[in-house]
Amino acid sequence: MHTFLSRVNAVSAFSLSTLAALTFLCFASTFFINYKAPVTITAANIVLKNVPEYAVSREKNDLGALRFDLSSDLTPLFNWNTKQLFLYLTAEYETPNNKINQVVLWDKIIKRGDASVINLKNQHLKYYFWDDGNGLLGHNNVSLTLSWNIIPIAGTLPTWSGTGSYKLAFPSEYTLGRSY
Amino acid sequence: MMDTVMGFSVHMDFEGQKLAERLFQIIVVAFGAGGWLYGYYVQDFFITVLTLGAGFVLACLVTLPPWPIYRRYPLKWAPPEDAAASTSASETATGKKKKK
Repeated sequence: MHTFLSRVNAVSAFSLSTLAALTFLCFASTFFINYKAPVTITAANIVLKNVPEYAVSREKNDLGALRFDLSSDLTPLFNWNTKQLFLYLTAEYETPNNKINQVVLWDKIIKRGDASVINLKNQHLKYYFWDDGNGLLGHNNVSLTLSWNIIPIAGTLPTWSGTGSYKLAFPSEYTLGRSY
Repeated sequence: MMDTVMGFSVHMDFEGQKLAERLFQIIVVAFGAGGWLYGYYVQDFFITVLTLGAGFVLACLVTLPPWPIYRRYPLKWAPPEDAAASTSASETATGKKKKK
């Protein structure tokens, strides 16, 4: 403390320790917040095809396709410890092959400061809805759910699901041709 | 012996060092606590970081330069050996320890 540089060192080190403590307190102040929010999902234009997925094998697998409407107000999820949200739409269903199938169909990143009210109409899927066999044919209990990862400024990376899902039914015959 | 920056002597005496350390602790913690509360109020952590940064700058201005308030208790050195030849060596050794 008697030289200039040792005082620079002491003040800087003490300020950084204080910043670390404040950051931890910021995390602690948001740790118990409930990040649920209501979501409305509907789907239409549901078609089902049976085509080879060459990335896996030459065998034909079920490929679903649909358009969806999605609306939700995610503004309450943003607080001072939220940096961005990662939203993803999941289809979950049960088949004879697997007790639980989860396929991510679509995702979106909402950064802090972006519009946080979602209102999508007639949206295409972003990723292929492949089943790992023929489990989608005539399946009438596929639920679409929106979930999100909260990416914080400091702290844990919690995953929450929206309340409200859509129950999807696939046709019991494959769609032929290229028409969607 | 005394450290200098560009020709200026920058040392503080012991009491001054104690005061400077206490002052920057108070300033940084006060700005940090106030910034945390205000950042919580407006729900923006960047405000907290900016306020802490302002406290850091203020603490630097207050405690880095050797202001006169930090030099009010200069050490009383024993007189040099040759100027006071009559004083014995044992008395000199019991004087104030040299600053490191």
